[in-house]
Amino acid sequence: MVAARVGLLVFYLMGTYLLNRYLRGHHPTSSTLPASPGGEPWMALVRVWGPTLWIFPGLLWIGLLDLSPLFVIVLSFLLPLCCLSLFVLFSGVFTSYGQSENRLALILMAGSILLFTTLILLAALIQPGISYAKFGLFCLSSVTPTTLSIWLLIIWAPAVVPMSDDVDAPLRVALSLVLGFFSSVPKTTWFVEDGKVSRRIDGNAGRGIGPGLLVTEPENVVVLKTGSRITRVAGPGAVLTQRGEVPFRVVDLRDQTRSSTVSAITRDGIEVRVPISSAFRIQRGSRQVSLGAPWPYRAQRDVLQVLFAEEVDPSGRSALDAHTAYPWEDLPIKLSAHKLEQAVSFYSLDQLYDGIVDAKAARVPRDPQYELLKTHRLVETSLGLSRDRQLGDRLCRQTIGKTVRRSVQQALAPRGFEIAGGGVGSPIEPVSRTITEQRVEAWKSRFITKVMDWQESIERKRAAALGKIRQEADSKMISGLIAEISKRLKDVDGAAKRELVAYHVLDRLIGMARSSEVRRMLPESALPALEKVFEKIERDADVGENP
Amino acid sequence: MNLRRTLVFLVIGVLFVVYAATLPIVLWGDGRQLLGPSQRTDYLVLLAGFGTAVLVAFHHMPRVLRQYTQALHDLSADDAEALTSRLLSGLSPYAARGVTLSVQGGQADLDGSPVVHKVGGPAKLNVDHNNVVVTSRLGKLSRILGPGVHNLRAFERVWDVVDMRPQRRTVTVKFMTRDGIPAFCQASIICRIASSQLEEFEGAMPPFGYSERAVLKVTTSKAVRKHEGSDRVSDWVTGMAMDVLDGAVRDVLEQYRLDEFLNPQYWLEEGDVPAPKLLLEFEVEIERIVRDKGAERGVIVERIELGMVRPAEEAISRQWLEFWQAKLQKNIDITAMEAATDLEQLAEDARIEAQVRFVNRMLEEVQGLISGEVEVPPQLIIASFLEVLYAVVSDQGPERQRLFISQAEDFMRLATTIPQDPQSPPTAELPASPQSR
Repeated sequence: MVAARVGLLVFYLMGTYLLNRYLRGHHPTSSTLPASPGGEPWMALVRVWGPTLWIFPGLLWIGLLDLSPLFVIVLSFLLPLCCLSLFVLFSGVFTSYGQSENRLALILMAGSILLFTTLILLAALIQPGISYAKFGLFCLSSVTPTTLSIWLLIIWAPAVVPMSDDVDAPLRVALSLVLGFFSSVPKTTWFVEDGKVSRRIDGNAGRGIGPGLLVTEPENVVVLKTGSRITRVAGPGAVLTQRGEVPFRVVDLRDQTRSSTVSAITRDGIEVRVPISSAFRIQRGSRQVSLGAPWPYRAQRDVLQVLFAEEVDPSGRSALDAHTAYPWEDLPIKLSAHKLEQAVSFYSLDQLYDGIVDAKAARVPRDPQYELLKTHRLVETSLGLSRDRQLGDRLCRQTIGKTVRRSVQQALAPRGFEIAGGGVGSPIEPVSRTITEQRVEAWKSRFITKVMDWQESIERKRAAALGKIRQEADSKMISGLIAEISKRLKDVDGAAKRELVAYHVLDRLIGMARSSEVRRMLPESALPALEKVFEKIERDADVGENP
Repeated sequence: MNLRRTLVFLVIGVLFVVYAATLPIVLWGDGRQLLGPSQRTDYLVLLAGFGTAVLVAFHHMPRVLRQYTQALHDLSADDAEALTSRLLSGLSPYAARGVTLSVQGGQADLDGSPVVHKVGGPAKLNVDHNNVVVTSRLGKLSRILGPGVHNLRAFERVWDVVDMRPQRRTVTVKFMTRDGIPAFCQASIICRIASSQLEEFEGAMPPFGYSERAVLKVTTSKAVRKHEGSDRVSDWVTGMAMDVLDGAVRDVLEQYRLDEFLNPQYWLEEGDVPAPKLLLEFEVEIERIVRDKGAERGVIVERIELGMVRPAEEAISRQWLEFWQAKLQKNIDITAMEAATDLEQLAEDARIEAQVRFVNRMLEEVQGLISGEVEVPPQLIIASFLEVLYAVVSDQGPERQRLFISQAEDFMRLATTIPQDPQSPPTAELPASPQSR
């Protein structure tokens, strides 16, 4: 008998060791198990405590009690099972959270086990010659390991289940999630990672998929739905979902920024590219982000309104995703782009680069700033905005940005958006390169004018210098001519003087004209003409001397 | 070792001892007589069986919870086992290397424990002297942890890390000048998280102080820029550089014309060209704006460095170059012109030109005389000569005109001192002086 007992112990040890090794590499795949109403607790019970081989400690008592082995075997099996049944029944794990249909089955089953165990115990106790002390110790040795394991589960389960501190009945929730994992109806568990819902534990589709656990990041909330009904906005934090609730959408509560470039046409017909940005978030009200508190948002209504403001626009999309709505985060920038396009059409290209530098001057009708302010007011009115007393910045694009932002705020505030910033932050560029080139040319003209001024001044100096030289040459030549004729006239007697002057003048002229350099610059007829006059003078002189 | 773990060991130990002590008494009397070999074997077997059952219960429940944890957090078996162990027992004072997460250089050590990174504590968190960590726990921001070694609580994880060192970012800001010319400039920002205390650079303490409010502000005001991508969320420095600095630089510079940034004409000191603004003036104005906006975000802006404004159009730079060339060319032209006029050749040319002009004018005067066979009286030639002389003189200065008139009068006096011949034609009259004309 001793050998049998030792063999049983060895078998128990080996069985425990092998089972442990097997279970280490094998996960329970609960969702694939067939779910039967009322069967989940027993499935969990078997899968959690079955591998403990709870019957063996009692079996070692065979032959030591004054009872038949059958009694010992049955009691070794039933006593721990009875403990487990009572635990399952009174923990409420499988009867709460809308699982009331389990209650009756569980009570019946646990009651049956309890009743049967009690009967067996009574039968054992009335056996002749039984030692109550031995029997009591046997019962304790059978029940203690199981009770210990239940106690360990009770104290440890809440530690491994990520739950908020403010959860009601944390122990029941934790046990429900842990034992549910090993049953045929696990509780679906989701984690939000990088703004996306990731399902970690699958629920059983056949028995509904809740209640479960949803853990979000600090900066997002999850909209839950049951069937086709939106139920609530959950989070941020660790949230217990109700039966049938599944995540519908994750909504990011952080500040959002989107930017785009709009192609608009100015009132003078110039197409320009205008960058626009919009900073927004879910309406937060006056709350601030703080430690230990969920990321704030004003109301569930705001989150839902923002989410259901999403628009379906099949244009430019494939047939596959034609009916997919654009995310809500795109709405402010789309609206901004539209308002911006409208606003820009009121301005001229030059006004877009202008601004109101002097507020007083902007009140003088003939000042360009007055015209710009008038345009600002016109835009304000046409966008349906109230009058802003501070309208008009040093840069036109800043005013346009503010006006567009006010307009978007007016349109989207009732939809749960809080427009926190944005505007026309980048330069406005004409689409056509010609415009820029023209502006560069206009800028260059100042330099070109200056260079031309320089060239003109040089030319003027050159002309002045040349004129001076010419005058000097003229005077030198004439002075020389007069001086030479005068010198010759002194040696000539009276009557011949006139002829001599004329003769000499003409002679000098012909002399000059014959010079190759001068001749080149004179008309061809010049020299013959002078020679002809000279001949005439000469002939006349001859006639005078020999009449 | 925490209290719960101690209690569990204590309970198990007590159970085992009580069982071991009670068993022989119950089975074989009051224990005052010695047990036989078979009884001893039975005792040991029962004791081993009970002990095994208790140990199996003790060992099995963590395994059950480990399986749940593994599925819940999508971990490997080893990681799940380690995590479950820490969750159940807390951190051992002899915590293994794998459960310490280091934070340095503005980020959590990616080679550190992935479980701590993904799930969180219990674990040790070693924050380097330059960093501050914001933790989250179960969907709520939890604590702000400065430099040092900290214990992360269960599921408390690193949500964000802030590098306290001064950060420099450089951006290229494109803008349009007020006269519509595209231009750009580089701007750098040097900033850091606001501190609640003065930094004391002594060896025994972290070099950077920090304000919890500023850290929280900075980490929670990050903006999501797009749906996907690694850069979908802008960090605080990028936000300061790309949003605040970029915007401030553009807003300030777009108020000016290109010539107000750089104008070569001004440096010629000609005319009333307005002086270009100094870069420092822009820098001061931009720094003021950026500082104010940084303070709203919990950021201290140490300084702004603004680069030169450069035109985006090549034509502008080319024009500046051409202007510079023209300026040099102007001097060259003047020098060349002056040199040319000094040359004898120029004088010679002028002399020839003068002769040509003189001959041409004389020719014009005597043109009428050469037609026909009429007599050409010498007085007419002299009169023509004098006519030309006065014409030449007419475009000279008054002094020169006086000199010529005096010479001409002397010449006429000389020419008319001839006794009057009754047959000869009348003496040529002196033509009217240029002044009288």
